[in-house]
Amino acid sequence: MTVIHLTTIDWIIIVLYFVAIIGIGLYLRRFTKTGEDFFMAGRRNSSWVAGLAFLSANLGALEILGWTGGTMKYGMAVAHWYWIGAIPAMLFLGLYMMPFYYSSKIHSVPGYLKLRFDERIRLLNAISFAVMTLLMSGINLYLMALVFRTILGWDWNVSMWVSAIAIASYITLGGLMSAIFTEIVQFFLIWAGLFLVSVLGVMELGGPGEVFQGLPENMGRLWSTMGNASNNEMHVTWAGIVMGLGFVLSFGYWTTDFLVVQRAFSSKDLRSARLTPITASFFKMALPFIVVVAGLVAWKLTGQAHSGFQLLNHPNNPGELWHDTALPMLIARYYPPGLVGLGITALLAGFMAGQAGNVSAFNTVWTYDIYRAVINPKASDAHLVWMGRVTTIVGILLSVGTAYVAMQFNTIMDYIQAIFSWVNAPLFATFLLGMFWKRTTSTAAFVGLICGMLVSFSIFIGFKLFGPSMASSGLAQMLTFSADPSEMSRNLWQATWGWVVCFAVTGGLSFFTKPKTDAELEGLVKGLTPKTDEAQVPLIGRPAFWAAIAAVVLVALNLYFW
Amino acid sequence: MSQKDKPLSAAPESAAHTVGPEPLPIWFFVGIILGVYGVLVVIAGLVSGETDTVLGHTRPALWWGAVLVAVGYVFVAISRPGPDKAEYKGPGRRVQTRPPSFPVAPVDTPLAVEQDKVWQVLCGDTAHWRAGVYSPELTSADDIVELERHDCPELFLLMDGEVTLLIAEGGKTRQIELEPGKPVLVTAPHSGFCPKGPHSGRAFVVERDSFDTLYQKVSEWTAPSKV
Repeated sequence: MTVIHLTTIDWIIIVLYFVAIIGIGLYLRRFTKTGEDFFMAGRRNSSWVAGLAFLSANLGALEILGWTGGTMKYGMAVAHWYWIGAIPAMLFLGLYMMPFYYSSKIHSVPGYLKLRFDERIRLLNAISFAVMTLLMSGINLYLMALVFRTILGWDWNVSMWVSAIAIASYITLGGLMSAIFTEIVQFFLIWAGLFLVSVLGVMELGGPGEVFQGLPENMGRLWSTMGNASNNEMHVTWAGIVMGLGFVLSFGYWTTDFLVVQRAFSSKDLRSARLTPITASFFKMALPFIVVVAGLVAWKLTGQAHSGFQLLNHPNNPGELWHDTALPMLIARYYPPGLVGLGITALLAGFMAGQAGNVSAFNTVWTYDIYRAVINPKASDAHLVWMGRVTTIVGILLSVGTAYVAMQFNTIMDYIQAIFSWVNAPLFATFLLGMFWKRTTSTAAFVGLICGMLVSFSIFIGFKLFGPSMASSGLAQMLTFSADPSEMSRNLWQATWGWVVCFAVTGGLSFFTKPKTDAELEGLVKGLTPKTDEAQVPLIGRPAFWAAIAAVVLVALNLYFW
Repeated sequence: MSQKDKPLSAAPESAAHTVGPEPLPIWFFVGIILGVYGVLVVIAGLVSGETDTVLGHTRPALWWGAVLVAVGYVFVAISRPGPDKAEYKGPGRRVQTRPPSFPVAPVDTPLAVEQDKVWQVLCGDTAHWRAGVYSPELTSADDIVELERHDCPELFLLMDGEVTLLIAEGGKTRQIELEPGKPVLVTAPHSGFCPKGPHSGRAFVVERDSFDTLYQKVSEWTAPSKV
């Protein structure tokens, strides 16, 4: 049964999107000649362009659907993922880490690891990142097909292959520039196609005050219910939010995940690169006004028997409500023909931009950190561009393959969260020590990273396979400070422990292994990198100024919704 | 410094971005897409009238479509290519040099400098500076047709032979003979020649690795400025 029926005008709007993005790819092809053009978008972007792309690479339909539905379960606390769980890390990246990234002339995050440490750790990160991005791209493809099959009745294969072919086309043609252009288009389409849902929902309920009025405290507050895990729907304490989300997961993702950091590398100069994540932070803070408001509207409507609003059941677990359908059901509720097409296009754009971002990051890491580093070090620039184009097509095909595997084994989704805490969380400890402590050695970093990744994944497997035993033995309480942690809480704490172990092992082992010399670390570590001279730059042009403004807005939002 | 009559590009060894025409700004595409979608949504709203969706009587397709058209128009207006926008239409031509604009150079070892090459970039520091060797092939100031001016200063230091710079200043030109061991910081429009023969002198040059250059004829640089 489909819940949204498309008219001719809706189909025109959807088809136009495909025409537009492939047209953009064809247009940008003539500006994409060298490796810098293809993999780094020519390093010519302003902080506005790079900043919106930076945000959009992270923002996808999966997240919007997931967190709108998540708001129905967890309430306002979802905003933590947009505020404390993103903004501090983004500001830190812009202010303190970007000088090391941008000035070291690297093409990728693993490239920095090679310069700072050695080839072992670069390869470890490159391979784990490549696997992660392919998995994410495939999962994106599968979930997109699942959503559109459920709400629109679209055939699995048509959804997946049409999207895959479109993405392969415009990335192969225009490289990172195409990905950035379509990500920015996607950002505006999401506002154009989905913000109206929140507006109409607020109108139906009678105004913004009505949305928040009458919310139980465990749904309507950000921090006041975090003193005890049982006081909020997430079953997590403020320590888990601050340490697990706000520090480890957030910093681990925003400062080391090449998918987003690559967009900052496309900036035209260092100041623009530093401003990229800072610019993005303002737009990130605004996103809860789509996601959380829509989720609260859906929650309120569900509680009103006369509203007629209800979620669909999960196609893979028929007895379970599928919260990800909250937003599509609101679209069906409010949107007439024309707007339906726009809303679906916004979702489609979100899904496809997520896949395209993963594929463009994958082709860069494969080409520079695996192919050129290990297989063909003498490859010319023209050959690397060719390899990037071929890798894009291969990456898309592998993603489609992963999507078909996910169709057969849909529990694969459970492993996605673990992968982030497995790869990104310990990696952040490696970067923190590597960038800010010159004593950190290559051997210690390599061993520490492996230990952190193993610990994080072990905790995940332990809960997955021996959950009840871990609860009864007290191990769950020791690891998560809760006898019955939610899946959310477990994710946060397994990331935290992965970080802690990596940090401790790397730091400790560094005292017993040989560090690089100062000359070898020039430009890569704090204290051996010239400070950025901004004496001639007006205050309004300085990254620190805008970071301070963002920090003030962040604090104000948290206090207002305390 | 850049090759005479040729847009500057990074040395072949570096993975430079294409210097030349730039793509239309992304905001132009955003504006077109939002505007077109806005029109389509308005048309859909007019055709379907009041619908049986919740709040359908408010005709959201009409007013939201109008909002999209307005926003799309703003984006197109601020970013459309025009005479006063991205493309420079005045006399002369503009070229952008953006990092990385130098090759990867081996460290802790003498760098190879090619003979009989007008301009060779040797090395640099991304987002800071680059250095190269300038060896003009022209032999007289009368041969110089075009001068170039960067939006950053440029330091010249004579390495060997003889090199003379021609600069435009105060509505006329003058020559600066480079002397060994005496660097000259140049900000004016300039070019150069080797009075003893093509490539008979070489100067070491240091400049930013990101700058814009305007090329104009000598007569345009020395023309009286309009009030």
